[in-house]
Amino acid sequence: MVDMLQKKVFRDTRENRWSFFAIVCICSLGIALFSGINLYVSTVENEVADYYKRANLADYWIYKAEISASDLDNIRSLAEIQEAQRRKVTDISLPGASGAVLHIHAVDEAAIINMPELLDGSKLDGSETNALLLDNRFAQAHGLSVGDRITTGEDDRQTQWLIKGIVRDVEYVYYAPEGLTIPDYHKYGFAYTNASSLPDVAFNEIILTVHEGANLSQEEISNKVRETFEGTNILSRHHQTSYRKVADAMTGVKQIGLLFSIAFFLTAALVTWITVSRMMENQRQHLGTLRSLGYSKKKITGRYALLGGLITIPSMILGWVIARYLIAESLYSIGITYYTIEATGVTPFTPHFFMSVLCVAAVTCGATMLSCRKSLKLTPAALMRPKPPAHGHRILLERIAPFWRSLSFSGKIVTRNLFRNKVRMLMGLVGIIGSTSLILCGFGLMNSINAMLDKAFDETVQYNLEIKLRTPSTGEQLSDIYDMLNSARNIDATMAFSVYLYGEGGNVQSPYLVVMDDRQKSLNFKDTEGNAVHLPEDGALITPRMANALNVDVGDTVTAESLDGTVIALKVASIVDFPVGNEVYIGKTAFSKVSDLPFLVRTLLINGQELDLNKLKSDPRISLVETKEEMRDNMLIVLESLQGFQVILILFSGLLAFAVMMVLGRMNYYERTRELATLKVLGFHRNEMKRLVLRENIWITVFGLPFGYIIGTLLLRAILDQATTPDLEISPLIAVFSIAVGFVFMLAFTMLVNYVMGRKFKSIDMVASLKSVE
Amino acid sequence: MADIIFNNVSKDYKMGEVSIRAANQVSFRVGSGELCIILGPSGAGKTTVLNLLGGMETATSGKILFAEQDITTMNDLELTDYRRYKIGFVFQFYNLIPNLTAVENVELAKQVCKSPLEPEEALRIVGLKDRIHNFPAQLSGGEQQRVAIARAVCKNPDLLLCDEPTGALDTETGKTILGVLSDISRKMGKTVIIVTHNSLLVPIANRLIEMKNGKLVRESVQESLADLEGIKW
Repeated sequence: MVDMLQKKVFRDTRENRWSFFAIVCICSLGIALFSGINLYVSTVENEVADYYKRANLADYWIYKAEISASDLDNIRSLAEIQEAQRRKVTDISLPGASGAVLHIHAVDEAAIINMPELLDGSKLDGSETNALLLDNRFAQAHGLSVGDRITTGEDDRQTQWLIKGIVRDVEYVYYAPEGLTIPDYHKYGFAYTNASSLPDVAFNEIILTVHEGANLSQEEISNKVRETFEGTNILSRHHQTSYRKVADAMTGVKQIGLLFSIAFFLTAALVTWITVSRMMENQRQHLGTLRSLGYSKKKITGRYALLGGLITIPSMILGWVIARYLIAESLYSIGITYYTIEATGVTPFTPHFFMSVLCVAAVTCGATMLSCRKSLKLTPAALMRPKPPAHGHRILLERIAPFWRSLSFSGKIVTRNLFRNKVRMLMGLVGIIGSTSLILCGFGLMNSINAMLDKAFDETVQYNLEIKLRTPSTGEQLSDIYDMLNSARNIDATMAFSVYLYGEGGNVQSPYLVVMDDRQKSLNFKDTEGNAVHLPEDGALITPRMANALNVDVGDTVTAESLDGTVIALKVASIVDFPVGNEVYIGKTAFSKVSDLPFLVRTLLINGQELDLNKLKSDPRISLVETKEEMRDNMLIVLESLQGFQVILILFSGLLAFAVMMVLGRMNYYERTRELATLKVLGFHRNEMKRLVLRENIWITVFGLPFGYIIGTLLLRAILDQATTPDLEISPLIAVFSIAVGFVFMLAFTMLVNYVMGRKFKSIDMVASLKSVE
Repeated sequence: MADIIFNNVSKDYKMGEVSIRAANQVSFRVGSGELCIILGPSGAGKTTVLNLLGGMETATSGKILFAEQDITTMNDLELTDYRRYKIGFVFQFYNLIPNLTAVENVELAKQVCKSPLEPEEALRIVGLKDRIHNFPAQLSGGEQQRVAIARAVCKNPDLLLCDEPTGALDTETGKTILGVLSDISRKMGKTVIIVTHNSLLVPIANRLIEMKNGKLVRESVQESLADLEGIKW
């Protein structure tokens, strides 16, 4: 038998379908955002974690100029070490204009750590010479396939290599060497070969894994290895470029996503709660009738809780579809272009999804049941009596006589309506503040990124071209390159090499140490207060992020070790505010005081116009020619996931704003039909009615906007705090233009809803609305 | 003269397939300044007639003339202006705006009129002096109905339409309300039309229109009017 009470609830839903639909939209957006971002992150994290496990990613990398078999045995004999392998690692370059560099690895036994994953062709059996397994991205970029041959080396010392297989490697999920911010598959690749194919290269790296049970900290393991094997540098996974970049990116996305979706969810939940409660308030007399018919409180409450289910279930389905196919899919397709992993597709479910559905169920059912219970406390007779009219009392503002007198009559009505109906105002305010803050946060993300790039590339960076040399050279060797650059206004030759900086608590950072002329004009350093800083005669300059990571301050001394084991003591002379990158800068004079290393040019920083870039690019000694614009663009690409967010943010907050305004407008309209009908009978024109009834929506929006701005700023700050990595720091900024656009956007929404509701005034049936008290 | 002429007026309500004729070929005439009562049982079509006259609904056929103007041909905007400047409405359930005080409710009507009375004056006419700054919820039924009448009167309309104005009130209160309405007709010279199912009200009317099943069954004019106090309820 059909339960009539159920039927009634279903019909109520149908009658209120638009408000209902808006609520379902709000809830699904909440679910979608909360679970969609998480879906993406979990997918990538799981795929990567699986891959690390499957291919046995090393836990540590040990570097030394030469590693003998006995060194390896010593390492292997350490209790905590599960497996260790030594390998030869070097860069080989392809001749010609491409200037491509292959990072080649060679082992003298079968690879058991960092096992390359064969995608095409066959593995190396250890016997062949000059055969290699090639990076699939590099192969793609160069149109190479199995069986092709590539030539490496310079004119008289060329080597021919046979490509035996195409591989993917766990060490290079995100391959951005040489301080690249994004992968450049055309320029940089990696390869594997047999140790015998590289007779001139010594074994110079050990990769090792630690027993899973071993509970020694990174620092303890590092110290142990350094004791056993003096003069080495050891890096853990957390300092390995690919591992770190993937982990940082995922953590960033996860944390930003969490913050943002919680803010969104809170807004959605509050609006839903208030709306559902109001819907229930309007059911008051029905509740009375049902009670008088003899339905138990439990039965009534139970049936009305159905309303919660009717909201939750469609929201769940819609939310999942948006999360899975819109948010996760689009973020994943961006991600997969940078992460070289087997793309198995987005995971369909994560616990976050069920959690968010539960939250929606709790909010909707909770709101219905609570307001049901509140109403049902009254006797049936009391419930059936018309809702006592809103108590006539004066609002606080009326007591401020001068203000009150200055208002027009309709102004008084609007003001009083606003303050008398607190729930309505609260719901409007929550919706407006929530969506305004989210929209401004979305715009602010872009503003902040641009401001950061402006600061870095307009204020600090004074050169417009950077040339990297393949091998460090002396000034004399470069005289012809200088000739090519004779039209440049300024050229600064710099030396740069990778160092390990050891800080407190086992913290290791691996920045570039950049040695520059004391009076260089390429970088315009400023300290955190904005005062100009010049390269000092003693000590080095570091970024605030580096100071933070190493837990050092001005005046402290840090130890830097270069890859070949040279130790340099660096005094922190000043902390400079440079938002991009994490280099350590030192002047030539200061450098000569702490190190005997000769000054060899690695990079040229050039400020000049109309330089022949193609000629420079085709010079075999130059590995990279990058303009300031290219650097800036590359940074933007790195920030693509943040930008993807921004679009989702603005889109979703816009939808939220619209849905909230729609619900607000419709509820106001339906609760006030009687009032509107009275005004209509009195002969009010539609515009006059709008002024009396709809203007309060505009006021609510206007009140909400400044608070939305405040909360938006806080949210943006929290999000950017999470997005700060050692390489990047973004300060929150919402441009005036963005604020204006956001505000106009919200006001336009309000007016649109008012317009839609105002049109409905025409169809108000005066006779039906005024017939009896209902 | 602001006479009211109903000429063969019919009103059909379409409810899906079924069409209900609420007013059937109704014709009558009410002179300016008269107090007219439309009497009939529930469902007789009397409220329909009132709504048609008040411009709240449009007739299916026939002509309704008010001051020689045909209101059946008016568009929405003209009807709004007609209600605004010519008509005062009083409902059975008052329909005051709950969050406006008594005087503000009256002021609300004044806002949209050309030559309104002062709200205080209108409230004095209906006999409400003391509690004019109270909200509707703080007033009794009779007081609320007086505010509603004051709201209608304040507009200084040519025609006052009352739909069961005493329906929700007790006898004594109802009587005073009727007194107010009859004074408005006699002393201020306004045309007042009262719809009721209570035949006891009949003696105070100049003109009586009786309806049943959507049809006008009798129209009568009374020359000698009974005194309000003499009416037995």
